Amino acid sequence: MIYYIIIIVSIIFAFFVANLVINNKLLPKYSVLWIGYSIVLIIMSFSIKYIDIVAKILGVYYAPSVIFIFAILFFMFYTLHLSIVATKENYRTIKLTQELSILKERVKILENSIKKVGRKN
Amino acid sequence: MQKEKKCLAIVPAYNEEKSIEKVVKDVLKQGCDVLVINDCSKDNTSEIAKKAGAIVIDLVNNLGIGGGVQTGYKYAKENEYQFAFQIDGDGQHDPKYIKEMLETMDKEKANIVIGSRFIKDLGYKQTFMRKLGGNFISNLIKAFSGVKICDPASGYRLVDRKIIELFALEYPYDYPEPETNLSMALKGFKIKEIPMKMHQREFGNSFVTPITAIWYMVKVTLALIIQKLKGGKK
Repeated sequence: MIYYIIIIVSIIFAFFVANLVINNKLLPKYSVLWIGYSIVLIIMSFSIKYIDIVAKILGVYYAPSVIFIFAILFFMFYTLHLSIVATKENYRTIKLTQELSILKERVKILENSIKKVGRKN
Repeated sequence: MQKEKKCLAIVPAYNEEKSIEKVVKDVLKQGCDVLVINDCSKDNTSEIAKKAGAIVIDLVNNLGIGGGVQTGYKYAKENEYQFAFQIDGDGQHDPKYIKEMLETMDKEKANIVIGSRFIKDLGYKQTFMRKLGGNFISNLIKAFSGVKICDPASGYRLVDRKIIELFALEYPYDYPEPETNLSMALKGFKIKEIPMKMHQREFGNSFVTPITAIWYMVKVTLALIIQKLKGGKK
């Protein structure tokens, strides 16, 4: 039963992700992994036999746990990836803030000196 | 000190309207240009600093101490300043030491001169926890780099052009002083300290509570280990 639930949820999830990309709420580069993830889940659900084999090899008694293990590993790495992305964005924001703030000051000085020249003339 | 555009005092400020005017005027008397980095203050820090004669950069986002001070170093780099001071906007640092710091830099051929609260006991009162923390960081830097810095967290520093250029490129954001002191020591730059008397805060509260102090220690220790691992690549 659980496999069918996973299949349905995965399909809905894949459509949801696709919809987000179409509506510009998610960058395509971030969607690839999520859609890939849903496809892997679907494939895994269809190949229960293989999951049983993998479970035996890994010494796991309850086969669906194998899916959970892979899911947890995936989330772990993906969360780390997102933290890296956030860090990069943070650096970019800081740099932009600094450059923009310095530029604003420069523009003000320029404007003031132009005004002064204008008054003299 | 030469009169030409040579020396810039970088003053990070957040809600310092009560103290900023005196700081700016006192630093100007020492012959330095003053750059106040207004980190999104909610009071009149910016206007008061401008009136007092400072150049003011109003940050468009709140960046915190590291990002703010780095803005000052970027400005110093772009405008070809030869020396840059870092001095707090809350009035705790006395600008009268500026001359002595410049002389020390010249005499000792140092790249960084730190105004130190602890190199000589001039009566700066601090809690036991703070003393313990300060000693720990100081010893950690000594262990990692072989350089003894009595007051590695002091926000009162003078740096030369080489350091200005490095800081403009890379500067830590959370607790920058201990980290940069270690990384510059590892890169082989000469760091000197001079004793200074620090005023107790006249206005506002210091942010340190026991929990933030411990959290500070953990973060600084981690940051210093990372700096050590990065090594002394020039």
